[in-house]
Amino acid sequence: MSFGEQFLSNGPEPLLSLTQGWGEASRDIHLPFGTCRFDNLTESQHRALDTLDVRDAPLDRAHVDIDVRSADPGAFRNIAWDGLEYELEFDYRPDRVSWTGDGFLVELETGDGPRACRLWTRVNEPAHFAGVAQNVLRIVAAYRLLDIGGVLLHSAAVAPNEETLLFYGTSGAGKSTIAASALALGLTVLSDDLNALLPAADGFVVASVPFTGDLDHVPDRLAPSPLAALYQIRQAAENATTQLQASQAVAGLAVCSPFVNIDPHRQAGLLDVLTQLAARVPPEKLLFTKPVDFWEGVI
Amino acid sequence: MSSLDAIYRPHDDVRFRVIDSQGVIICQNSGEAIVVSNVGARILELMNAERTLLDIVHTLSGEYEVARETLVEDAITFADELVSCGVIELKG
Repeated sequence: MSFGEQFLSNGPEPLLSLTQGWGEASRDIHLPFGTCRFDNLTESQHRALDTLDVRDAPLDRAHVDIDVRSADPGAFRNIAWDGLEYELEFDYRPDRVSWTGDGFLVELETGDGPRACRLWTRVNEPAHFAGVAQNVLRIVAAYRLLDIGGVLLHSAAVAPNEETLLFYGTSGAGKSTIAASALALGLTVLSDDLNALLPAADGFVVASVPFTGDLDHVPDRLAPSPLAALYQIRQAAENATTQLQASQAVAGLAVCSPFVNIDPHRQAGLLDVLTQLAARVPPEKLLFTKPVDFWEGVI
Repeated sequence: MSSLDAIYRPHDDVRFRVIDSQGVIICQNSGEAIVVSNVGARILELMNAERTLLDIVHTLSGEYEVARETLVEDAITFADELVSCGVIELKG
C-alpha cells in the first residue's frame, strides 16, 4: 500500500504544492522541547487549541513552526470513522517524516535546531481540528524529544515529592489504573498516557505534555522534575519488584516509545537514548495487584 | 526448518544492538522489541557478515565450550524462530 492510500484521494503530491493558509491567527503551544507555533489559523482553529489545555508560551522563536495550509475537501477520502480509532499512515525519510489521517497531511523536517512543519487540512470545525492538532503534536513531540536526546514514553508519571516516578507499559498494562490510584491518594499526576523525558546534567527529568489517556486526567503542569525511578509495569497476583537486565530494560522502553520506534531512520538513535536512560536510571519490573496497594513500597 | 547451507541476514527494517552481552532487536513494522542471549547476539552479528549457518556454527564452536551437535541444533532452532518473527530472511 502506498503512502496516503487510506486517507488521500490522489496521494500526497497534489497537496504539497498548496501554500494558502486558512487565516491570520497564530497560536503558541509550549511543550518540553520548546514552542510549537501554529500559523495561519482561523479563529475557529485557534479556539480548538484551547481544548489541549496548554498555557501560552512567551512569543519567543518557535522551535517548530507549524504552517497550517488549506486543502480542498476533495483531496481527502470521506471515511465514516464514527468515533472509531484509526491508525495513521507514515512515510519515513532520513530528513523528514510525513503522516496522514482523517482530513489532514503533515510533513515534519527532523534534525537539530528549529524545524519546519507543514499541515494540510480540510478541517476547520473546532472539535475535529483539536483532534488533528493532537495527532500533529504527539508525533512532533516524539521526534523533537529524540532530536535533543530525550524520549516520549507511554507511561503514567506520579510526583509524590520533588522527584517523579514513571510507570511505563503498553496499552492495557495498567498506567491509568496506577494514575487513578495516585490521584485518589492526593499525589500529583502528570499524564497517564504520555510523558516527556529529557536529558539533564545528572540524569533525566520528566516533563508533562498535554496528552491524556484513558483516565482523561488533565495533566498537572509542573516544572520538569528529576526522574527518580522507572518501573516497567505488569498486573499480577502479588506485588513485587525485580531488577531488569539492561537489555530487557531497553527492549521494554523501546516498545513504549511511540512513533519513533517504528521509524527505520530513528531506531538507532532511539536505542542510544534508551541505553543511556537505562544506565542512568535502571528500570525495575513492578508486578502489582488491583486494586493498587504498592505505594508504601515505592514512595 | 532452517538449512545449514543457507545464508540468512537481518531484514533491512530490523535494528539490532548488543547491550551487556545480550541482543536487543527492534522490528520496524511492529515496534516490538526482542531480547536474545549472548550467543543469539553473536549469531546475529555473524549473520550480518552474510555467512552460512554452517560457517556460523564453526565460528561459534571456537568461541564457546559447547558440543558441536548442540550448537547445530540451537543455531537451527534460533534461525527458525527469527524467521518466524520476521527478524531475518533467507538471502537470495
